[in-house]
Amino acid sequence: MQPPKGKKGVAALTAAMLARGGSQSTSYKEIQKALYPLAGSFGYQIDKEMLSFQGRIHKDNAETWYALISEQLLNPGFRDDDFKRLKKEMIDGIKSGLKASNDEELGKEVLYSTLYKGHPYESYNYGDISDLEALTLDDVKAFYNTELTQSKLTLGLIGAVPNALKAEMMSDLATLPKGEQSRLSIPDAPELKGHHATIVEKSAQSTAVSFGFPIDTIRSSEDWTALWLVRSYFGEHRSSNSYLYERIRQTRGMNYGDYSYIEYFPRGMFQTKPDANLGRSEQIFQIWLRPLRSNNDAHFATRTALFELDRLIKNGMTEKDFEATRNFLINYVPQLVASQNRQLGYALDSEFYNTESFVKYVTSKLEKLTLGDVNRVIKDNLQTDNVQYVFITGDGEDMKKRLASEQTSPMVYNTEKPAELVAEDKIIADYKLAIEANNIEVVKVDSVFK
Amino acid sequence: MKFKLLATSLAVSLALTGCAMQKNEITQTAKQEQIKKADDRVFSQDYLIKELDNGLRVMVVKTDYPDVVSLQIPVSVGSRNEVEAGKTGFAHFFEHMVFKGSKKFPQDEYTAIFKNAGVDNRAYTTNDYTNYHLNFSKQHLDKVLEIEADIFQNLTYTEEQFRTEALTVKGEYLKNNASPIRKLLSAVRAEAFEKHTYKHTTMGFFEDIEAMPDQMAYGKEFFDKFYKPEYVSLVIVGDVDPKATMAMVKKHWGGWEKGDYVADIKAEPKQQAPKYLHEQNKALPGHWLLVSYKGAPWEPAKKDRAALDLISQLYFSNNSDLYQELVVDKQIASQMFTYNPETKDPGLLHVFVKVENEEDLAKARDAINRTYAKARTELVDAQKLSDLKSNLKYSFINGLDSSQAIASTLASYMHFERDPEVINQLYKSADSITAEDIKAVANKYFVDNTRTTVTMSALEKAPGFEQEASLSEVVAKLEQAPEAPAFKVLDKTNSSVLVDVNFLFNTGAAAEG
Repeated sequence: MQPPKGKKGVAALTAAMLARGGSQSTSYKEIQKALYPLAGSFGYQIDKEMLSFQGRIHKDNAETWYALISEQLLNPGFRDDDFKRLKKEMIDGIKSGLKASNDEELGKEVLYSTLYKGHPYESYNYGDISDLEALTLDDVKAFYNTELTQSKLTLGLIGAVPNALKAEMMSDLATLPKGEQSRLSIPDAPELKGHHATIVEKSAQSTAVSFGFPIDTIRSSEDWTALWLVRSYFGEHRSSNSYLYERIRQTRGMNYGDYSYIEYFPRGMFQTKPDANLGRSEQIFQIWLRPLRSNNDAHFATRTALFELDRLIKNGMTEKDFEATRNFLINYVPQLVASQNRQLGYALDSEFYNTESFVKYVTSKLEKLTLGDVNRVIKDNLQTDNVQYVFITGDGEDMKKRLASEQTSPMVYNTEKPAELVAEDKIIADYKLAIEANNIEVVKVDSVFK
Repeated sequence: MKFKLLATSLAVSLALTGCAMQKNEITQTAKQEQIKKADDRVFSQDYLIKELDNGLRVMVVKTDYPDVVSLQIPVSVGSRNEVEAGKTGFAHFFEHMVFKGSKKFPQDEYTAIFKNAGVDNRAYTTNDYTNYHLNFSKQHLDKVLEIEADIFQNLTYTEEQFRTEALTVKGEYLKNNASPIRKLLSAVRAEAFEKHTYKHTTMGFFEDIEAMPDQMAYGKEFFDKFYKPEYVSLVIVGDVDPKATMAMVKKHWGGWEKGDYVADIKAEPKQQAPKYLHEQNKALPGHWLLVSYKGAPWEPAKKDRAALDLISQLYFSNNSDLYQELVVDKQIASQMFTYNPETKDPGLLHVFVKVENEEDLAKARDAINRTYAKARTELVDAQKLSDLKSNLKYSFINGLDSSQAIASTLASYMHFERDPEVINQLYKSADSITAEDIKAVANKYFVDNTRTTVTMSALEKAPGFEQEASLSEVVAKLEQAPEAPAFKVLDKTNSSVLVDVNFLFNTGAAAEG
């Protein structure tokens, strides 16, 4: 299932050629010009198993908009100049975006890539540099013809779509090749054994940390909602009201935020709520520590996160925390689908996972949950025996030395701290990550997604 | 169903051959407060209906419109009853003769009385009935009933009057025949029907009109056959006391003796093949196309008639896709309209198109063909159908906005079974019609073998009409063409002005390779 060398990024480049390139009849520039007065949008989002083309238009202009974008989607121009421009943009996105100026996202993507070695999930969604450079228009056309099939398509509509337009879409989309498979068939994640660290060395003032391991629970699983609650309690994304955040940021002032995840959540540094249409058959449990001031602090914060995770697994949640988190989620979940396009996106995801509508699904499950259920789900899904760590740092060898020798990482404050905390810090400063030296790899940033 | 309200006034007047006839201007003034909420009948006025011993059916409706009374006298005789060869057009001719008066009330005398009383006295003739309608102030009701009763029972005219009126009718024919639409209708009926009297229009065949002056004896016979109480209804609507009115009617009309004649109207045999006729009309600018299919008989409890009306509105009205295509977008046609008159026996459902360029005749024909094929293969949008039904129903009710409007509407239905409940029956049938019914009815009636096509222009023949355009072939093509789409649709459409569309493919970076 490993993608043959040379095609990484072809899915994203194909998507870009459709959404951000001209059609057979109209150049991209003309399309943009025509869409401008309508304030009509058309874009794409790509992940491992989902490729979404989305647009928003006022109903009065829906016909005009559709006439333009349907040509892009169904009669793509596959023009050379579009191809060169978009390829260049994508390569630049990896070089100067991901690798040069977003250490946090880089850490997460390296974590995924490392956990999924040899698996179809291994590659970065936007490819790697050498493969992108080698891609041809024929590769794009081949991907378009084999993957954008009717069998794999769900057309999602919301708003006052004129009936005539709906009928037009039905007949137009029926011209796509039929295809056979309705979705990709994804093997289980490779088994992770023991503790591993990948250290990416690059010019950096701080150290970014991500760590995690594959889990079997995905949104359609029986235990997903309970695990989703645990994640929220332990590290709700960009929320000041979660446990890790309280321990690492609030109490110790170490960084900007500390969160946990059970689903792929790209672009987390830019947004507070997850995007829809990132459905996956395989997921990981992940902890994301926002950049730490030094390798010592990164080591300490990682030890704190592990210390707290061990404690969570051992002790479970308290009744009070369980109730509070459950109440929070029941009240918060409508906000995740508050806008019209999110409603549509989540509804499409519910189709993918074959569940009820998202709010109904999680609310009804949350209402039935007990503390006993949640604590069992913690023990069934979370563990610290097999963990992959990723550090993005300015000094890789130093980080490796610290990890390999289990070097103590004392926590120093600029103020008096309660004795209880100081005592806990002492324990954490020497808390064992237990990563064997030969499980630690230091790589230069240049070699990542090359 | 009273789709006439929606049709063009041109099409409306086609239904009638009138002399002193004037179409009621039916305005759209809302009188919806009169509609009882719990009552979903379209005609919900209280009425008194009675059949006298001699078979005369009398219906009285008291309205809240002050002072005015409308008297309508529909006689169930129209051109349909003209079964004898050489006698076509007689129902209409006779409508003229009835104005001649009686011994007691000769024309000059009763017209003087009517003039002083401000009575508006008119009549018209259709395929199936002849209607005399008089509007006046309530204090003249008794007198009007007396005069009309005497004329209907004791019509008198001289041969000189008869011969002179026949010339008037010929003049009327010639006037009407200047209209290309009437010409087309005469042509299509003569071509489409073999045995049934719908073969001729209410005017009659021209040679029969020319022979009318010598038919004095037949005039007497016609009067004795049809102007009998069992053929006649009286509809009296307005500011009246129903019981007192009924007594007046009895007084003046009760002594009329019953007749026993029934015309033997031959059923039309099943048409065996599509028909086509070209009419050369040297003076005619532009080119006309008329495509007509045989329709349904008057059976208001069945869905067919109402469904055909809905089809003509859905597919051929000014709101239809075809109108948009031919008249608005491509501008091939300068005129297009549909005409679907209510007839007792199966009549014709017409679509008229006028084009400016001769080569567009065939294009228009093919577009009509495609539209009928669409009606036979698709399921019309349920909302669109329900909107149309609702519009027709409320437009009908809106039209009942004066005593005269109510009376003339009732008169146009009384001739069928002499029972106003047929109106409610018809709308009830319409209410129950589903998209599936529309499709089924379209498949029953719109088949190649029931079609007659007429072209008319200054040309000797119309290009592209050497062969019939097959409807069944287009239907077959449509039926086999669309395979069920293999993609899924998540339809969450609602009333939001913002439209979001998400084309979600279950593929991505994991498929690279």
